Amino acid sequence: MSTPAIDIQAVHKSFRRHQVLRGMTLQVERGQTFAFLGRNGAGKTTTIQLLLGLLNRDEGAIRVLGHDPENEPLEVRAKVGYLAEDQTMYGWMKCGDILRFMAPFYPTWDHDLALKYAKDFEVPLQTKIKHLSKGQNVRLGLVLALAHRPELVILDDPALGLDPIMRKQFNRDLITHLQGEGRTVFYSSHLLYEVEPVADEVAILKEGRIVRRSETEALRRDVKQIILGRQAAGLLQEKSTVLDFRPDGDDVALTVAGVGIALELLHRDGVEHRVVDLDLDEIFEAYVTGKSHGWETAEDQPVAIET
Amino acid sequence: MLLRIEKGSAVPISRQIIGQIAMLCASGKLQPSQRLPSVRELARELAVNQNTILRVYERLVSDGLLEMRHGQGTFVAQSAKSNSRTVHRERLIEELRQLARQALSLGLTTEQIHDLLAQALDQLHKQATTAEASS
Amino acid sequence: MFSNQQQRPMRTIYHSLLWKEWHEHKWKLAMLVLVTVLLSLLFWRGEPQMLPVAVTTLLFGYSVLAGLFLGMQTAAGERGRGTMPFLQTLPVSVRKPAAIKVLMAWVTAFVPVLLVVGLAYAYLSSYNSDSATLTAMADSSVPQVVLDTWGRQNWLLGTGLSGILCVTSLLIWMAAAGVNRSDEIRAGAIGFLIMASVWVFIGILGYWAEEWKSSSLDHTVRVMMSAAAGGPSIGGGNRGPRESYLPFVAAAVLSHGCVMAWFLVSFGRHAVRPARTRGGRGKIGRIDWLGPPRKSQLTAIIWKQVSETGPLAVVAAAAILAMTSLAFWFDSGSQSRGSYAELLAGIALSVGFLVTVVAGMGVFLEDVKPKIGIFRRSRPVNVTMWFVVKYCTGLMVLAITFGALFLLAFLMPNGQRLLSSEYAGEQVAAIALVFLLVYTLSMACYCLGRQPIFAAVTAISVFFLGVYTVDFLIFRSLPADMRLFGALAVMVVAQVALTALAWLAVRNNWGWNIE
Repeated sequence: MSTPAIDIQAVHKSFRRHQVLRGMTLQVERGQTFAFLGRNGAGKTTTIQLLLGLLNRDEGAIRVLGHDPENEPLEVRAKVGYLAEDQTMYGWMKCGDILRFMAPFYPTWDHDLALKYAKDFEVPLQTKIKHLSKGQNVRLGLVLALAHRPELVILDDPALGLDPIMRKQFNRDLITHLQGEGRTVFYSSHLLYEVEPVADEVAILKEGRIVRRSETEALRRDVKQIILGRQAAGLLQEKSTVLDFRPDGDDVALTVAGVGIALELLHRDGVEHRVVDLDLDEIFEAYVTGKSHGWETAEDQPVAIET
Repeated sequence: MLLRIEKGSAVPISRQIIGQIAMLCASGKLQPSQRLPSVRELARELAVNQNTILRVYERLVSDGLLEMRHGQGTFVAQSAKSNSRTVHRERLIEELRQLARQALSLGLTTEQIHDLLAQALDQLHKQATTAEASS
Repeated sequence: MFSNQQQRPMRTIYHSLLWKEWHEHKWKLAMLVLVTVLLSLLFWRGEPQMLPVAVTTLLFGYSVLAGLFLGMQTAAGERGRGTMPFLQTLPVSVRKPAAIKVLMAWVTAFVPVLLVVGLAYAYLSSYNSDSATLTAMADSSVPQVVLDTWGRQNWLLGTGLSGILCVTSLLIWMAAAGVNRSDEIRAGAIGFLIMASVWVFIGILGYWAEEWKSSSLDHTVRVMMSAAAGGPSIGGGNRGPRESYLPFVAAAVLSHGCVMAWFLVSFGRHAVRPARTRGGRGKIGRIDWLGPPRKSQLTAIIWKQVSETGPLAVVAAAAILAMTSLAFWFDSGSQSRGSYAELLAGIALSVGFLVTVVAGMGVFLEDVKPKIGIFRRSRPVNVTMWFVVKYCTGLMVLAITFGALFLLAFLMPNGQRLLSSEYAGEQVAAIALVFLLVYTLSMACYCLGRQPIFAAVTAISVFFLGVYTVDFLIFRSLPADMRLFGALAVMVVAQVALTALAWLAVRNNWGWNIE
């Protein structure tokens, strides 16, 4: 059993009075593509900055590829490929120049490989960075992140601002060049439906803690909506994990995790109910904004029609 | 081979792909002994996780639709068409069950459901005969 | 291995960093060299006896401005462009880029000094001038402290060395005092505040030394002056007749060493927090762009501009008062001591020039940044209002602050002497118009170049070229009674042209991102 690529144990981090991470615990195994989800401002970038040693944690332990980023930040950065959210690079440098510039910083830099990736990703070497389109900018960033053959690649919301075609292309590149070569990928985003086809596992961050971690397809099987009468719902509340509710006259729709167990109970007691499959956006919403209590006294909410 | 993934749909991606490949086998668009794209190629093409594609192929192999020939790739099995029918039947039965559940919750009785099904079949037969007659 | 030789990777980290810093500094060096050489040639006008004055003025003016602006750039250039996070993620201690950066800034700073001194030497040796006349001129124009330190014969060398020490000291102090600020203007304002505070502190101690007639405190204060920003340029010139050089040199080396160490340790030490909420720190987010121009929108813009130019003006005013008091005390032994009012007016004018340049740059600092600029420009109805309101508000803030200072000078004892000349009214108008010109010029230069150093150097050099042109065209060509009218006419035309240029640049997003 090899050491995990990323090992975060009970990490706390606050900025002045605002506590961003409270007791976050997470492991990412080697070779996995791991997606890290949360709303904007939930602490995803802070976590990544902690992993790279750009910030110091208040409490807890972190190990990245066996190194502690607080004590050995340079070793971590040399072994990790990083693509920041909306990465601003030196606009006056040409793409070819920045590759040459970066080379000596990484002991494992392979310049042939860098040029090959630049060609594969269609990054024009003679163009200045300030003249690149957004998509080209991201692809250049990917070349820089991969050219030193890192074991672990950390991507902070890399598809931000890309149009759907570019996002698809980015996902393709990620799959071919990262998954294809057995690298570990740690990928933060707030678009669950974007991330699902690509990731092996997802973790959802809410209020500084991981509230759910599972394999992507298992998440769908595990979280569903059950519509049933209020009285029965009360019993269900005690026995299973309710993430969110929506009152509906005499009934209430509960979004439940571990739905298998819940359904067993309902079948056993012969309770009338209906099961609704949820899409990933709804599952995500339930985890990060859902209220698990209070439906007992809640009134019907105005109908929100979504197309 | 044309596959289409619907992101954000309630149906998991692996199930979508399995269903579509099974459909292609059943309809004969995929012929026995036809070579499928490798796991890598398909993953790249669809922008889907390689492990997911691997699981899809493994599932289809265990369902008898595909066979993996060592060193050569993945191919459509000889008995794919019939096997796929079985897979499809199972899927159809599941969908009918869902449909029945919905109909019951709408307050229809069992007889009414049978009637509706008979009507639907009738209409299809009529369409088929009209098409035959005009050709 | 590589198809194109130019695609070869760089050999070492230092190679990469030097290449990068050199590229980013070479245009600044070229500009500074060009400007200093041009101005030197203009000032001398072929008259050898003007040489000491010209060299001294040029070098000290240059040293102060270059030291401050290059320091600002060194401190906050990376953050201002948003490339600091990129630099921080490189697997190298961020001190190395910081060290190379300050080294290159220093080279950029002192090379023009060497050139000016070199040119002056060449000029002197080619021109068989009467050395006595020259030395006499040098005596009267080169600061006493420089002559005392380096010797009367070596006035040129002394001025050059003083200039280099001055620019080095200011560069190091400004870089350290302004380190990690979010843009160059903020770095400049805060850095200037810190440096001025040190001088104020020294000034207060000096005042006490004089009050209590304590010679040991007096000595300490003079030693401390070498440690402060710009202090080493005074050299050992303010040491007493029997005092050793050692404490002065030691103080200077020690303090500048510590300040430099502070810079290296602090640079890029903390991760830049992503600016999530656009509503913070008075940014544009608060203004509802989709709504019609309401009174509250105007108020928001005015408030925003006041909160940006205000602190700068207040800091400048405080610094001016502090410097005046210091100079007043320092000059107490000298016979040619002016009144407090005159000193205040003089210092307010010179510092005011600098502050106006910086304030002019800052008015549209955010607007020329690509993302915000595009957002704003897509709402054409508001642009002219936006421009006018921001322009006038910034101007009002400066006018009020400096107006207050000049009023204070006027009210002080002997203050009325400032306005005793018969042309007092025209003089005041002319000065006000000059400041307006400088403000608009600096603003236009910044909008067109989007780079503080470029803006400062261009604005200041265009200003001096303008002064020279006016002098040549008006004062030398026109008859006496037409001169004032002519000068005013030129200034008004220039003002209108520059305002239009700045407005068009902001409205149409003209400009290059000079890097």
